[in-house]
Amino acid sequence: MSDHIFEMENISKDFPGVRALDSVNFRVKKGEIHALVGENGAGKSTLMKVLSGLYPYGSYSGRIIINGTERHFHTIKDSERAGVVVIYQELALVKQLSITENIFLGSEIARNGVINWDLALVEARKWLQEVGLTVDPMEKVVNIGVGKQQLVEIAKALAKNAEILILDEPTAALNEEDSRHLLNILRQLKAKGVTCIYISHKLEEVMSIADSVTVLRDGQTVRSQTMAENGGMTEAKMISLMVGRTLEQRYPRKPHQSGEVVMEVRNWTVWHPELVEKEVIKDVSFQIRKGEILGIAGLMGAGRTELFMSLFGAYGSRSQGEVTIHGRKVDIREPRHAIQNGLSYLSEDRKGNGLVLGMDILSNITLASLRKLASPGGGTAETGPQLTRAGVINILQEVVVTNRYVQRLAIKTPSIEQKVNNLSGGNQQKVVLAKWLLTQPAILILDEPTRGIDVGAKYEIYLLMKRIVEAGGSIILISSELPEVLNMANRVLTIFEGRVTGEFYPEKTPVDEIMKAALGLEGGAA
Amino acid sequence: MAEIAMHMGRNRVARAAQAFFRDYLVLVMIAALVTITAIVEPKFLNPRNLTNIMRQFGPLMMVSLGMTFVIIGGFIDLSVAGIINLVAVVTISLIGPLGQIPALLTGMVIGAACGALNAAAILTSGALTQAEALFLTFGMSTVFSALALLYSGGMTMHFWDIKTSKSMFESIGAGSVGPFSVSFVIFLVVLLLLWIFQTKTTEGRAISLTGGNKTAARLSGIRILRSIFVIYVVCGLMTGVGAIVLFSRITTAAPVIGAGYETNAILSVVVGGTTLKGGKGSVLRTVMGVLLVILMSNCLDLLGVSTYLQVVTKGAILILAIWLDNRKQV
Repeated sequence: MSDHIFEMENISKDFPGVRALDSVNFRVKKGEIHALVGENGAGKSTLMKVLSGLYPYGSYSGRIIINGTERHFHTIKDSERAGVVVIYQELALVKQLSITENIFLGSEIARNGVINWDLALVEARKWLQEVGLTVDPMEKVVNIGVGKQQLVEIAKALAKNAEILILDEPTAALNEEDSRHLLNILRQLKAKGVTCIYISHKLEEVMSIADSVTVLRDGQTVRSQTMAENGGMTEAKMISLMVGRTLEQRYPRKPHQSGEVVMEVRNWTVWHPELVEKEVIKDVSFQIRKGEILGIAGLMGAGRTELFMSLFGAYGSRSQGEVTIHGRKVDIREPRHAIQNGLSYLSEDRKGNGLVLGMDILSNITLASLRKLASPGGGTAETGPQLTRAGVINILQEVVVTNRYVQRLAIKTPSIEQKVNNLSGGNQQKVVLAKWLLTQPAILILDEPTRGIDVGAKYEIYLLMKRIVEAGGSIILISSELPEVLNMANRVLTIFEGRVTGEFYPEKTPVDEIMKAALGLEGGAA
Repeated sequence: MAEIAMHMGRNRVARAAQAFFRDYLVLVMIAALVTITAIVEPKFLNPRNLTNIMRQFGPLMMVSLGMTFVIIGGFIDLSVAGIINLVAVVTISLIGPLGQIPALLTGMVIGAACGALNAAAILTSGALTQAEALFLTFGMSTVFSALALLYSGGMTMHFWDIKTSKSMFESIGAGSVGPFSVSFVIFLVVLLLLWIFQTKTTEGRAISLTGGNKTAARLSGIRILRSIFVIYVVCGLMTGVGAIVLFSRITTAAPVIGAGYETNAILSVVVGGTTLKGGKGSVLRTVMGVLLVILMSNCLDLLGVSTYLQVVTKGAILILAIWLDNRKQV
């Protein structure tokens, strides 16, 4: 008991319609490096947000015990006072301020409100030394590399007297050398008695640095052990624990029919919008066939969204390569060109990119079809007569069409004049889906279509996807939930660091192999 | 959804009343204001006073109707004062040399061109937020005003200096069609056109969508840059019309007559219930807003409240309207 620096007991946390954490137990010994692994959505971040007070005491059930006493954190300040400091994936540094200013951000060394910069500089040097950084503490953060920025973050945490350091994907943005350096610093800190929770998808790193590991799956602890226990932990064991042996029957049966190629992408390369030299997508080629669901698996930040946003003309940076749709070369520079060419893209950010929250269901469903249907002959059997003529909307027709889609997708609402703001997540997602279906897309790209919606609505969306491909449409399914991809897709592409690392038929390939390719561990082949 | 249905059943009457007050607060305020003033100061209902009100609201109404589109589109236009100054002095000076109709059309074109210039400045500089547009159009306002001063040499121009016919402008300023003033008829026609544009056309819808969520609109194939261009051109054009109505009524044009119109127009639009956040609002609401603002000055005048205090009142009402609007959106 006493050798645990902290324990989380029976932590449960609910979001509307979703149980994110289900009686999770998580114990960490003093002075160890404890890895926390699991798939995206397994509950790692939620658990850490509970620990850091970002989800305040009372919004979850269970107990947090630190150094033997139960603690109630209401804010991040509370947890920092208790020595718990989280370093998030996206760095929380103010780029235009100096390293010193960042280290003492919010806890400035001051007397009567006047900052003592001389003392701050001395202190900053001390903490920088601690993390092995030899830079001028007056340098602006923007002028040092990402690797050094990460170390500044750690120095900042140490300056807050952190006893428990939580690192969320610290090496995600680092190159190999910086990563190795960071891991060495962590080992040194461990020798000085700092306890460290290490969250990472990079299992290789976990193997090399962690003393213990806890695996989460679907909001539950599936294993918590030291690296040596149970015959020793291996990468393969971790993967099978993360994925789980059985995939439950939460998916409709897959249709398996695919016809001619409808879209082909050749040598697609995309550059970062700000770091102009950096390639976020490197030489990607793939095809999609009629009646097929193509799954895209990969980590967050692997370039999945960037790839398809750029194909949709919405990424806003330089790209190069060739795209053909129905055998015709297309030049898509704006989303409206994509829509005209039969491409639709349901964004992962439903509220920011998909919906106009303050407006009603009607305006949201016809949002993407106003222009397309304005062209002569744009009306089809599906939509009936044209929605617009000579720039004037046929509102009667608009109401009829909207009602048809509300019924077909079973959107639960008192009326189509309801603001989408007032709908549940699942119904909002159906509104966005209706919007794209109304454009009659040949290829529908779904980016995290079931994120944050409840199980029932998920199943309805799966059924809808099945109906779309059975009717001859094609779907590209991007998802962080590997089971979803494996159960829905006819074919899976894995993407890692902007490259396609494998192409699989889920029926024929063991899950572990696909997971490995998605984690960039080894190249796979069809 | 069952909850919503239950909720609606439980307190239907109370909720309906609440909704009415929330949506038509301005109407309620107008009614209260008119009633109180009519009781305290019977002169208010005097036909001469009513005609006066009808003539007074013309210029502000035109500018506010144009401003409505800018605000629904999620932007703002502080340059209307400058546009009024420029259009007024140029148009009045052209009545003699060019004749009435060419002068009128030139005035409207200049208004629209000023709007296009605003849009061009916003789009080329990539200032696609309301705050950036605020500063940018504020700068443009000083430019337009300075051009007006340069053009007029700082002189005020009068109708009586114009030797040729100026009958059309005189009738815009003081003429009547049956019981209605000409400016009121112009208002009705313009309102009908703008209402159709806003509610029935794809461009009108695109403007609301742009104001509601620029990113979602663009990702759905809406040409948001075109929408931004259109709102500023409409606002510029309507401001040009407003300037013409204004100098026709007061029969003079000085390069400073537009002062204060930007605040009054924004006040009218927001008081009417169009949200500054964009995406939601209507030209009909703006009509109510303008009525309230005009009636308020008229009533306060009649009640003998000083002009300075009236300005304070306007500021307070603007703050109140924004506060109410923010509460509504929680």
